[in-house]
Amino acid sequence: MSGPNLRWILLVFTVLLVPLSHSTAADSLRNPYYQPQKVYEFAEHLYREGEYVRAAGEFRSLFHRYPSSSADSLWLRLGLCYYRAGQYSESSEITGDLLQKSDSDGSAFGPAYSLMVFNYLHQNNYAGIDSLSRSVTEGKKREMDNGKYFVLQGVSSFYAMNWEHAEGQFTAALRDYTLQEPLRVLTQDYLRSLKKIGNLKEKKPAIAGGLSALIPGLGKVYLGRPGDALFSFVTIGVLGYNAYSSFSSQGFGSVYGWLNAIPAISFYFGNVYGSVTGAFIHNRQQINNIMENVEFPEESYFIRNY
Amino acid sequence: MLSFLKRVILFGIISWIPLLSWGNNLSEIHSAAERYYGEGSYDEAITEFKRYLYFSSTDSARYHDIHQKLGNCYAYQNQNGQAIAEYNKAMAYADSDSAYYRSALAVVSLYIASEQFERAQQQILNLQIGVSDSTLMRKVSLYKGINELHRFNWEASHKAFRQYFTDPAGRVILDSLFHQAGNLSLKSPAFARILSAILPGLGQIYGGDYENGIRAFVLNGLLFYNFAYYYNRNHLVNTVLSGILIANRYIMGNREHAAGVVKDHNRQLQSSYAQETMKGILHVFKRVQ
Amino acid sequence: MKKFLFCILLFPVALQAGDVDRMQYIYSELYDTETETVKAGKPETTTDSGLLVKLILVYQKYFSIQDMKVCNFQQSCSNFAKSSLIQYGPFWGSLMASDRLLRDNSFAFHYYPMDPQSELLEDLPPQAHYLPYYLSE
Repeated sequence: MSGPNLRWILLVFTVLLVPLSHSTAADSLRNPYYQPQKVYEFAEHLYREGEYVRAAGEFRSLFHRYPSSSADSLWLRLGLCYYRAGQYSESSEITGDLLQKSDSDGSAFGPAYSLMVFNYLHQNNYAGIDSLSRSVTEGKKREMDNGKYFVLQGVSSFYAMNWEHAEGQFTAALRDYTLQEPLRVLTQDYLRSLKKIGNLKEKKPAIAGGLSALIPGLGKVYLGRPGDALFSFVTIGVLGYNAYSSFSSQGFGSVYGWLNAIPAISFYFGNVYGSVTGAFIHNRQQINNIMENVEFPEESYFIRNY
Repeated sequence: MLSFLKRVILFGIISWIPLLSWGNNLSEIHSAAERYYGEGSYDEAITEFKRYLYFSSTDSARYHDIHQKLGNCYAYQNQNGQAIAEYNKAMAYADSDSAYYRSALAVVSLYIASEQFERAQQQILNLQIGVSDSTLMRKVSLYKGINELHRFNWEASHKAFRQYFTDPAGRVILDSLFHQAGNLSLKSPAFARILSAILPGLGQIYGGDYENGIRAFVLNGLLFYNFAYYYNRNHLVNTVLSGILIANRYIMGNREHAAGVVKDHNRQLQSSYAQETMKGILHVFKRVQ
Repeated sequence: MKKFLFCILLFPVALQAGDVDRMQYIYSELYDTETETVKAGKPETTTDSGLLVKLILVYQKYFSIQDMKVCNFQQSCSNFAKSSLIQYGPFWGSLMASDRLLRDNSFAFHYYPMDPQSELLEDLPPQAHYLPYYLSE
């Protein structure tokens, strides 16, 4: 080829290449709004707006496109998104992976541990919390020897209904002078509830059952349900009286007598049974009333400043 | 002819010009969102629209359109609450009456689709106040007709459809469709209650449920016989037990049940008529288009 | 006479029952936490039903349809009886059913929380009324 012709071919070729090299695809690497910082900003905005699943999707896209970004904080944000969205099993999976990775090093361990405990609490998996605290390495145990983690342990024990352990943890937490104010208020709240639980008067099932066996309905009065007592007394009384009068006038062959006796006997034993189980239910109810009146902690108190 | 060096410089300038257009990056997001919307990937479209809304601060000319499309995306994904919120925002950004009504009528159609007819009625009444444009009034009357049809108000529905269909041929078909409304053989629940009070089971038979009618007759008959047996022998306790506690319950229950049977029958008739009429109106609609 | 007067005095004090909640922590194993529904307590239909369950099915088909809506609870007494008989057998099931029939009275409005939509009372599922559940702890 001669010189000028070659140059013309080269020029035409490169000029044609120019529009092709600037593709108009939206996730073009050159569009600044798809750079990691802007995507992260947008994801944070979605999180603040309450669109947790969408925010999780955006955080995930950061992994795929830019794997070199600081993975730990991203995994934690992802776990938080799923936790806030109420998908506790997904959040546990992600946080569990993060815990394993950062167990040996990394400052993400503390927040990840806290998030894992919260996930377990929402799934009522108290055995999981126990095994988690046992599996923490010695190095990390020293790092977690401060008020914040005592409060976390106390909260887990409280909802697992292990009152003595919870009280011990909360008292230890208060001794840490670096404990922040909201956590301090929370701890005092929990300690007050624990005191109320300690002062509860339990109803004894045996007494309730015995009283009901003596006079139908008396056990229900002992449990604080006089309406139920009245109704059962009248029902069993009327049926029993009918059966008795029928048997005494016509003997044990009367159909009407048995028609009243069978329900009467069934209701009598049902009443005794109901008083016994009612005592157990009443005791649980009292504890539940106290537990529901105390505020469940916000996870941000434990995961803040990360 | 330019020298080779000048050509290289020219090439350099040409190749870097597209990179200077940073103002187009936002519209790239917008066009990506529109592409997803057109394809039917509504979840991605919502994300891209929200990204555009977050990063753009001055270009509010597109906001009405974007919020309207966001509402459509949510509606396609059956998230009615969020769709209605987006349509309300679109209404706030509407720059013309027709744009405002577009969003408002979308809200009405969502209410009708989710069977919240009272709320749709309220929204329609709000729209009818202060409307001056005749085309908009016609559109509102179409939705009103559909809503009143689902609420079983035949007169109001007929009137609203007549406002929408102005051609004489369409109106003739409309009149014939609604003429059949008068022929619906509805039964009265109160009459069923009276019948059941006279003879248990008669109300159910009047409502069309023969099986339960006979069962009610037999059961109430037995209970009444039981009551009469003890009453004749002056057994106070048994009379009270069998009469007040048991027989009374079933006699009153029998009346409630008869009324329920008749109400079900009526509802069945009215909804099937509404469906037939709706099909007929769609037919007229397609002809007019 | 004195005992009678004593009983009359007890009534106003005892009528004030405490708040009844849904006990989500205490009975957490009975509730599906991710979907907030009760796991136990839904009526089940099995082919292998005992005589008592068959009686209940006959009652539901022929009698209760004609009755007024007398049950104050969300799960009707016959459904509760059916599910407890199926889950726990005739002995425990009949005890739980007769207890439930005695609890279903007008005074129950003081003792149980009301569901605002259906205006019926919420009772605990059969598993919470099963005595061996408490004795095994």
